[in-house]
Amino acid sequence: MTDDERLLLDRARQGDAYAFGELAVRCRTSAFRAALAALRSPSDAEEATQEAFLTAYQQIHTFRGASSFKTWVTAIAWRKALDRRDGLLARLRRFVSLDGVMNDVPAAAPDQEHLVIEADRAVRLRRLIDALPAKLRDPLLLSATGEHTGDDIGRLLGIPAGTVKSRLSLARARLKEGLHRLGYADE
Amino acid sequence: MSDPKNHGTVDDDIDLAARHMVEAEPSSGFDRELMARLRSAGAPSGDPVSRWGGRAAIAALVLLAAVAVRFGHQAPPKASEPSPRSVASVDLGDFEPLPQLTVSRTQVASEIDLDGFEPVSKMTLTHWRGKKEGRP
Repeated sequence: MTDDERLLLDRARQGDAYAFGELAVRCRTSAFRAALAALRSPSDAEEATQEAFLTAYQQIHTFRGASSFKTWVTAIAWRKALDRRDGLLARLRRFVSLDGVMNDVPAAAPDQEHLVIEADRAVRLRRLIDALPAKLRDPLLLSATGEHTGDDIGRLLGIPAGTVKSRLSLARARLKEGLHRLGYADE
Repeated sequence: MSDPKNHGTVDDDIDLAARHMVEAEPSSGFDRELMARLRSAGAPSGDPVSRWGGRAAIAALVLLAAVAVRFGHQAPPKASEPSPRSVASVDLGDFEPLPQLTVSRTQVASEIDLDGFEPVSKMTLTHWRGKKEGRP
């Protein structure tokens, strides 16, 4: 933690909202991208991030500096996003059954193969990522933010860094399998 | 964080697709909205130690006040004077209680003489002093 950050933290602890706002500006992207990885909707992710910063401000006395402020706030944003995701899924399940929607992507007919262009492949790949189970999708997207190390992701997800790595490998294997089913040859 | 052992074109595509999904920035109004929320949220709730210290001090004050009220000087209770309206006297000089009174249902009769009674169709009470004797 830099001296500058420590000074801002001290002022924020005394109720200086502007000092806290300055800290927030420095780590909002990290927190927002973590929330986006969980929620996949920018507006929902933004709301979760706002809630996370408010909670961090109210609970700033509990931050002892064991990790960086960015790591601390990002972890709060991640939890807020997961709460929101659970709520959204629960509401959605009241109306439709998600069985087969979240985990299965229909296989393309063989004659579609030649029609698919590169842009379409990217779109389908994103759909495949969306369709991954959360335990594989979360580490993949958190890793893709470029904001977190494997250890950081492990702490966010509450799993060892080695498990993060194995889940990333499994996620990639699933995605390749999905591409193959859609008619894309491995390159 | 990609797996270097398994990196190829497909892995590049996966990385690219995943990055597209999360490489975004908060909207331009994010900071302004956050500052508005922070200002309306008020100051942080403070350190738990000092917060509990403050609560303990308040509890001690309340306890002291309760003790002062309990053991402090108290004026003798003042005899309450009945209001004029509640004064009633019953002369029991000649009263002799019956040793036993038995009344059966068939022996009780009530009689109300309604001769000369005319129902009032409309009555307006304009003033009442509140005394039974002067009641119209």
